[in-house]
Amino acid sequence: MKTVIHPFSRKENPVKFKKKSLWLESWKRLKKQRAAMIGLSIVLFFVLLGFLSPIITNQPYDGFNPEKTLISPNSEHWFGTDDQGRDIFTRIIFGARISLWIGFFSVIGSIAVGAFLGLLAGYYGKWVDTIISRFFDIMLAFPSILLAIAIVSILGPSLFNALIAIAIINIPTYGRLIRSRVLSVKEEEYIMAAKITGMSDGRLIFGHILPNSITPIIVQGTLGVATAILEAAALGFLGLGAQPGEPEWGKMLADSRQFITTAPWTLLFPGFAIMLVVLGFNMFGDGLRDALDPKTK
Amino acid sequence: MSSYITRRILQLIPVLIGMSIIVFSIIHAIPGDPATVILGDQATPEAVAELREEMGLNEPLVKQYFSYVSGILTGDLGTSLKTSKSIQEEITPYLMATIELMMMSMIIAIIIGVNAGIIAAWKRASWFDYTAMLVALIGVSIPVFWFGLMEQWIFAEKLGLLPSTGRMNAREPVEALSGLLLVDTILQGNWSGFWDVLKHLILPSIALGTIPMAIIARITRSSMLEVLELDYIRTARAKGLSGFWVLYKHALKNAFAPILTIIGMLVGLLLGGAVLTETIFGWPGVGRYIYDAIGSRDYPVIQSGILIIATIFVFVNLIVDLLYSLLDPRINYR
Amino acid sequence: MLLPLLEIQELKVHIPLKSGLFGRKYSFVKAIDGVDFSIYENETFGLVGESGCGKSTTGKAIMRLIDPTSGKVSFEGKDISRLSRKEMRNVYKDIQLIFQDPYASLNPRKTAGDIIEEPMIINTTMSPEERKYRVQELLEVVGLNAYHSTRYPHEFSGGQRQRIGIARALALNPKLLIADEAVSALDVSVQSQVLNLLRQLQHERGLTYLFISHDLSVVKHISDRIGVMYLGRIVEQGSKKSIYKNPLHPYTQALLSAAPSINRTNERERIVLMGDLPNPINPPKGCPFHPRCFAKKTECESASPQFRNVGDEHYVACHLYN
Repeated sequence: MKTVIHPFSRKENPVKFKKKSLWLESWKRLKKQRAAMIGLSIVLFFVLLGFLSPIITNQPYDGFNPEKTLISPNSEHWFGTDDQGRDIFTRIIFGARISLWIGFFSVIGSIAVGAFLGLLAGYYGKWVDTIISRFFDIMLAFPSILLAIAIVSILGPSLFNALIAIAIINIPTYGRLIRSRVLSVKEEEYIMAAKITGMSDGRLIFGHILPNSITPIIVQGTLGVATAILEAAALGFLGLGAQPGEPEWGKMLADSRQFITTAPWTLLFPGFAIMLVVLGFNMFGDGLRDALDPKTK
Repeated sequence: MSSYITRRILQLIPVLIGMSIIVFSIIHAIPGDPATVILGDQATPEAVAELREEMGLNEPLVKQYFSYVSGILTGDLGTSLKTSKSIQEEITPYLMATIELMMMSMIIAIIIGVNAGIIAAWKRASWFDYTAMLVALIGVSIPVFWFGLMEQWIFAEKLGLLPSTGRMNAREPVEALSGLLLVDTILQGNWSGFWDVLKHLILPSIALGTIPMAIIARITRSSMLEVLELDYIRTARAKGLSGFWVLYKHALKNAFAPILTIIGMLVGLLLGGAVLTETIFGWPGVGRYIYDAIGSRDYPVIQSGILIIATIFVFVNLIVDLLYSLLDPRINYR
Repeated sequence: MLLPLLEIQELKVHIPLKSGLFGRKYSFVKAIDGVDFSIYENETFGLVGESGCGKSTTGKAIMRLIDPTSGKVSFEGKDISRLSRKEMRNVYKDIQLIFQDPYASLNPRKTAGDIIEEPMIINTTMSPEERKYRVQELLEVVGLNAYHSTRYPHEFSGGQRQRIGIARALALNPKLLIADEAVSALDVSVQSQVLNLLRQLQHERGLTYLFISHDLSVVKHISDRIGVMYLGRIVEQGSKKSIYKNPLHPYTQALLSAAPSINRTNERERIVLMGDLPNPINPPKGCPFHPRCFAKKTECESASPQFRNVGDEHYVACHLYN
């Protein structure tokens, strides 16, 4: 009686069709957001500065140059020099590398760990969720910069430890975000539909739940780079991040505090650099949210 | 409702225990022997052994933890290694200084932030709106410590308008009663002291209040824009009640709820920002107290300082949640 | 007699509700409270009832998207109600589900082709070319075009999406298809197209359907036998002919009288049910239908009626037919 169409009945080659990218459509929406594009330009500008720093300037970012201390901005030293005679413009350009590096990698670290924990908590629920959520609660009970200070005071001050500390303190932000997304996504019918194909939990979580939970993480991650850069500068300013010699913007501010009356340019430019790059990420992040995730405010 | 309150309070227990474990672990997580780290490399073995004994480091870890927690519960926060004074006595004036600074920052942030947000929404897409939102965007992007330094440079160094460091003029000290000097000077009728304390407060509290101010302005604006679309506001406008003040009263009421939801987060920002602000402005608060302790490796002070700030933060969040549940009957208590 | 393909015995799904401090006090939503029926090969069994009566839960419990509290679900004679998630994977090759909402049941980040192909990636050893070819074949089987495979769900209409859902369900050549309100979200004209497609597929492939719907006219169109569900139980069951010609249970009578009919000569007097569906946390004592029943007797309030055969494989649970 059965006349089942056999799956292997014909073995012709399938016709190939091109598919459009969902990301391309989001990009088209993003391009219309003027603030976001300004933000992106600022970010790209700093990324470019960071990459090209040895080409843009031929001066060293470290060393002692006794003839050139505290020179006010001029045509040779656009942003002046500091008390060690180092060119501030050069240091700021090299500092862009440090700030962006810490910003990107700490956020990637936070997201990797936070997303993993959040996925587990949201997908498996029950005691897994209880333990992970309590862990997040406890971490969030500490004001974040204070927790970072505590972690660095354990690990010892250095740029890398500052990065680790910043990555750790931001884990619960992403973890909670992913968890709440997973809780709603896993109730969607298309997830049930995926379940009854018989796929493994891993494939379900990483192939179906995660991609549908990722948008707010991308938005939060962009804004998170801004926060991380500020936190890194704060740790550097407190002497808990960058070490002497390293051209980190926060550390530059701390080292030049005493020259506030005599050489204000030593403070003006590094701080302005922090503000500008953070502003760039914030504007870009806000625009991304409007373009990718119109439902959340 | 009462079961919600009970459950919310009971949820605190694991959080507080977790916090105490983290804070307790600080000293044990240091690579190497804590006593050696504290005393430095040149310390004699006898001195190290003595400190180990004094800090109870020779006991088993679990016992150390329980004696640490029972100490905290009986109000014993330990002894500062630097000053050899008990921390709970030492920390109170610092704590009050931080609270005074935070309250002033919060007041400034709310007054300016809410009003800027309301006007920006009211005059949507006007130059005021654009300026206010640009300023708010810069406000959340500016590093607190740099902003503080710039304030000092302009208002203290260049213009000489305001003092740049400290809580009061050292030559005419104010007597502390509660530790909140603005309140104390009023109680004493010391008006020149009050004025002096206020002048010292202005720069640091503006620096500390900038980020909360910017956040409040943005949130107020967006919630106001929703409110302006509400039917009863439209009706009020259509009926000719276009007067700004009529709507202002409505707006103020409606602006309160969204601010309340983020006030916990703002307090966290203020507590964290206090460390930086106090460092710049020489403000004798808890943040500076902890910062100095890090410099001198005074781990008991670091631990207790962090624990106190975190505890304050947790309880502020508890109060905010409970207040919110009282104010908003729609909240889900399950 | 034939062995049933799917046999459901005393199936119960009680969903615990937490309340009180620490969530210790439990109460149960009795979503399904003892359901029995069998489906034979190559037939369509229609399950009807108001929303909230537990018919969708029955489908999900068979697929183990919800775990049954007790009872048996036997597929080809083997109880699948206690299998682990891993063991269930083999069962999913033979039983597939078509979902209610074509807008929610397709992953918005995957193309139609990806969606249909995925079951084959997981369950077969077909080569990528074979899979791609089969995807295009399936798309054509359900009345779409091969070039649709690279489109995303949001580019399709509701009816087209439901066809993608059907193609996905067919990808592994299942024996049993559970259609959970499969056409309810569609326009009436599109409904009949999809229903005709389902019937045609049944003819061509010897499929067996469990067709779940609240819509009596849809069920009548496609079913061979029908079960009427009320408050987590089946109150009447029989062949399509006997149910529609001779409804016995007062609830079935009320449902049928409310259904719109084109054939006016066949029109019955309309019976209007009083009250709402009772709360399944606390179902009424005795016959669960008695608070709304127009033919209530005193014993209905105390004794639960037995499900009995009143002849010609027509079953009813009602004290009127003792």
